[in-house]
Amino acid sequence: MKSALVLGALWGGMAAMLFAAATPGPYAWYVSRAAGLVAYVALSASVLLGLLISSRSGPRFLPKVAVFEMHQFLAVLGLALVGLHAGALVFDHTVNFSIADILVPFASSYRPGWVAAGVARAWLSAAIAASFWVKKRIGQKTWRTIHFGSFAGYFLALVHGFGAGTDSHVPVVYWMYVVSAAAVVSLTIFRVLAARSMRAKSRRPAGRRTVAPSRAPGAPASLSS
Amino acid sequence: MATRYWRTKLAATIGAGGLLIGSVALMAAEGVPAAAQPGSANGATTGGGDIAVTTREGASQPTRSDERQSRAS
Repeated sequence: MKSALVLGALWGGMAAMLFAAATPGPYAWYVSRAAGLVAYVALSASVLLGLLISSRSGPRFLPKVAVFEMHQFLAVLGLALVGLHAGALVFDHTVNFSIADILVPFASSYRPGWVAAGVARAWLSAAIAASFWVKKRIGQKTWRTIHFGSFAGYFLALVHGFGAGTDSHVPVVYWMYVVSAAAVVSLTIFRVLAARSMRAKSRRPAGRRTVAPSRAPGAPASLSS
Repeated sequence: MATRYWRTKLAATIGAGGLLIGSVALMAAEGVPAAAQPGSANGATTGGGDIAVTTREGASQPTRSDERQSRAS
């Protein structure tokens, strides 16, 4: 029942928007642009939550499992919105995209490079989202490698939004890109430093017995303090 | 997938839907920017969208008649 409510709201909303996109007039263009922007917001939030989980610095008042669930859900919501963003373009007559233009990078004559970044990002998102469900089958290491693609995917989405988006000159949209990119870059740096610190801490007890004499003075230990 | 924390997920879905509908309404009020079209001055290069502003004195947005003309061509 609860699942049906969430999924009903999600897919019902998508169907209503796609129906609006199919009506005569420029609505497909509006729905596509709006869905692209909201997809970017959802995917940025998902990336930020993922970085909070991996750097073990999520909000203390929220259970870790809740942060993880929202990270996963926002990724799926973002992917659904990417589907709406691309699907609405099929009905659009402002730019006239074909299905191949939407699915194949560099097939579009409209800002080919910038659109290709978005197409690549969509395929990457689909692969990353699918990897959640086959995690046990592909193993933790492969899953992590695929999951690192999220960073490339995020920057492809940013580049696509800035370059292909007709709204990137609008101040609200421009600052949304700038602030979200700054947040992702800062948290990524924090995550890398936190991972190095954790590695250094976990090595230290064993290192004192075996490796400590040969360690370069102050190299990784300085990060752990 | 959707059972745990379903209220938060429903709120996120409704929030996204609200943003989507709000954005569509705002865009519908503004109309299609001429710069978005492939035949426009910067349509095939970068995502600027300010050409209509610089070529038409005093107009901050392309007018609806501009849109109709460019769509017809």
